[in-house]
Amino acid sequence: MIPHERSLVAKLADQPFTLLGVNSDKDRDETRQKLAEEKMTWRSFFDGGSTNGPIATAWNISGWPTTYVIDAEGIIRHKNLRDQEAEEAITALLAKMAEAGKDENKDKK
Amino acid sequence: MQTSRAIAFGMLSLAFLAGPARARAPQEPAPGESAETQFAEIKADYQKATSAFDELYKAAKNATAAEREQLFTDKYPKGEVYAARVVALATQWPKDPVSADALVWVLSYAQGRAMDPVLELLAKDHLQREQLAAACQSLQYGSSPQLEPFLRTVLAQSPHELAKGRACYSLAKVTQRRASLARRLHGDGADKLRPRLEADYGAEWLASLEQADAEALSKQAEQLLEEVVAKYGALPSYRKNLGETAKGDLFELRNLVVGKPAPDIEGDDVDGQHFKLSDYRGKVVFLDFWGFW
Repeated sequence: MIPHERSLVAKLADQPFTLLGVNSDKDRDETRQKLAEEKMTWRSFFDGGSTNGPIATAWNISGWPTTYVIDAEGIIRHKNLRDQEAEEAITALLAKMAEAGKDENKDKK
Repeated sequence: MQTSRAIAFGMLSLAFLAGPARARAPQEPAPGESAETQFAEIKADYQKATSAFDELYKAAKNATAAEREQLFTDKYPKGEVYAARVVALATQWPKDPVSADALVWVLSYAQGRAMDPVLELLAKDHLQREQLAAACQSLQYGSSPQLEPFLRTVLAQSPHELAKGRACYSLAKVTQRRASLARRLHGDGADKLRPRLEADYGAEWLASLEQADAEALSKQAEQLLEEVVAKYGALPSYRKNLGETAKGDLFELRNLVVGKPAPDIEGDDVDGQHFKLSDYRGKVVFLDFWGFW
């Protein structure tokens, strides 16, 4: 999961895309240190140091990792996709956004 | 493996023919053996196999992911092996409460179809027992075509409220999972999913999933969760009581679904900086609940 995420973030660096984590590890300092070691540059919420944290509870998380793909309007588009499957879904959404952007520019002209 | 089993079987039948003394039927316990001693032996073997795997896994720290996966396939104790041993035990001592303990124990390790004979014996010989509450709890994660009928039987016939409540909750979860499988069979990844389901659960189950009405199943799961909240809410589950747990699931079922707006998240990052999910509106977000552990 993490190696693929690292490459995904690099690949889509110039796209309107972001990877956000919700981290449920125990120790904040230790987690920060490991993030640096693992060269994980994306941002994570630190969810209170347990799997029972407020965010995981609000989102009814019972298994890790759980993932969501959310579009630019904040609408949930996919749930629980990983690695290649997630990448394909994200790339498709970005392509659709680019297409819509082109159409808008055309309309302006 | 197949060959050695055939040889062992051959020798056994020879012993039967040649034995001058009374040959013991395979089902008959050895002197001094009981459900209790056998169950203890099975558990000890499982422990031993698990520790052996842990040692190997630790030793393979520098192995590639593929090598480690192979190690897991080869050496991780197989639930179905222990399920078969427990089934033999429980068949031998159908009235012994230890058999119920053993059957419930192995449900945490057996997966898929290996669960079927375990469930069958629990329903046949132990339906009245309190231990079924523990079984029904662990079954919320299971997946086998036999799960739903089993949970329905417990819900209808168990004399224990806790067993009924947990059966009701697990039935909701299993139904929800079936709905999502039915939905996925009509979606993008269906071609990959189909052969996997067929291999694990058979063509008949796959066909019934393809014909299932996902929306109706979701509705059914929702009703079961509402029943849990109304009737069994105060009873204990893993982390919260059944009512709170079911309410979390109802929220997920109604709001955390494709097509609905993601609820906002607000919190601090690992550096203590406050931020929100909605700060990223305008971008596609891959939200990952994770941990290094």
